[in-house]
Amino acid sequence: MTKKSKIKMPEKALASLLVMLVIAQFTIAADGQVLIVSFHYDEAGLSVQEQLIKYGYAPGIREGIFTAELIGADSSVIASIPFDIPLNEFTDIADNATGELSGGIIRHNQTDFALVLPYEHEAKEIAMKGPLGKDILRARINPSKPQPKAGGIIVFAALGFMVGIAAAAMLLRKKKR
Amino acid sequence: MMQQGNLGTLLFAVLVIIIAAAALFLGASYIISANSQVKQAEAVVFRSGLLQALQANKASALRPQGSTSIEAFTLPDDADTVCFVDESREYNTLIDPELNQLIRRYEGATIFIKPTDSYLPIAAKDFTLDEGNNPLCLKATRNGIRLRMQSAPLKPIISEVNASDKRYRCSKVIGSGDEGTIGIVFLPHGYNDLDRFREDAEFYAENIFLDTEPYASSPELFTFYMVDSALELGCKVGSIITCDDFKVKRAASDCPHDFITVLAERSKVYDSLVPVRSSAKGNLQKINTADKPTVFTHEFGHIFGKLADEYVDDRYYRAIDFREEDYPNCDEAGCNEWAGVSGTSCRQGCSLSVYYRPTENSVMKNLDIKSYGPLNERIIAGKMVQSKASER
Repeated sequence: MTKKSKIKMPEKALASLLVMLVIAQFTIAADGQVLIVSFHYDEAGLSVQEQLIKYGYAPGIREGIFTAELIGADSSVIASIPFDIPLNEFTDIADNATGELSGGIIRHNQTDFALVLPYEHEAKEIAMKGPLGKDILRARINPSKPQPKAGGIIVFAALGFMVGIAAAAMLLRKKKR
Repeated sequence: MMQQGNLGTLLFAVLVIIIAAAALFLGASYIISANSQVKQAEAVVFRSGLLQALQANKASALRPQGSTSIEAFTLPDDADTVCFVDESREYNTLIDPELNQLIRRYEGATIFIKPTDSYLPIAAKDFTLDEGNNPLCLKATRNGIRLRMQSAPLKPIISEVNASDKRYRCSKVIGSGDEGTIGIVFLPHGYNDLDRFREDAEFYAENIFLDTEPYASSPELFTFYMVDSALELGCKVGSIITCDDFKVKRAASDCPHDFITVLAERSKVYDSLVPVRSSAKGNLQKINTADKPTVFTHEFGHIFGKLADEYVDDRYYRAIDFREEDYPNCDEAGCNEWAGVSGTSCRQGCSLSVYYRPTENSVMKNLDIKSYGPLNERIIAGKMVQSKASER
């Protein structure tokens, strides 16, 4: 005869709470969120370095000959944002006595830059287009997420493995004797 | 037979290893789950302690109106901020963009413990906040927060004990903050004293930028913000200031913005020995505060007005493919680009000595000159109108 397992009320309530919290994470609207993407540009082209989704504000003024598009799962274009790859950097320094400036433009061959884009929950991909509208890069939207704290579990599992190895070694030694 | 015996022992040893690892894995999972329950319990303790304190601080015979007390509350050790919102009045939406969403999502909730995905918000009605202090977000220090409670007839007024306890992502320096204004956000680098950073931001915004035409005639088009917590922007100061663009944009996105200004604090004395150039790239300008303050409007002329330098530096500009047609304030001999524009002339020297500029002097040539000159003002004014008209 087996005992029926009893589910304690607090555990049940906690489980329900956890389920609700998990569901809540997926149903929180993307309203007020931005997608920040960092890129590297060089002669080989454009590549994505890092992505982040957070609450915040994207710039309203946009200019440029390139276009960043947010693409939905159904391949529709959710947003289209012009931008430039910032290769020119003006640098200036003034003579303290006369105020006369000197300096110039540094024209970079390669650069790291970031774009702040308005984020919609439906957006699954970003498509970067060149001046003639041709795709130069497509990337899945895959922002860095805080990882669950698995360190403790891994340490315990490693310890268990070591204990097991030691026990097995002792058994084998005993057997040889 | 011997081999079968050895195989049996080996299999047994493997089984022992697996069982031991599984047992410890499950044990660890249980401990982590128990920790989570402990944190939730601590949050419940915080809530009940806070509600009791609020009740106790209502004005009564024992506690006259206006009397204050300082109350301390313990929080779970991973809680980093607690935000209080007085829902009965308008609140400052700049304090925390995430909080705005949470207030909309959790109707009736007035207290939010961050990280908000670990703790449910609390609906507590028994407090009020001073005007200008709504919402009130406080950093958790040593697993707790302190509140000043002032007794009042209906609900006690709560506030911070020290100004440094407050945490806010973004604050407005000057301007209406209306949607549709051109947003410029200040970020600090190298400041030990954030009050000084605020003073500098106010100075550049009010005394330099908004005192210069064409901005001075249309100040309502601009709002200045600042993210005034100590930030890690990945900035390095060499001959120029370089920053990690991802970190800069991440910080700047806490405020409504179109343009970003990193103020790098430097001593004038040290800068005279080791000068550092201010610079402009994309929508970001990096200002050496030891520079003459008009460098702010000079660099903004680059990033907003798309203006070229009107000083001549043939060595630099010949090394790159500088073309006058890319810039509205440089032209070839004859200066047909701005023919007929009042107040302009055709002066030799505009980045390269072979090109021409519209005035003898302007802030795009010399930082002792405050004004842009009539052509540049016209160009910038046009950009301001365009920005106002564009969909935001």
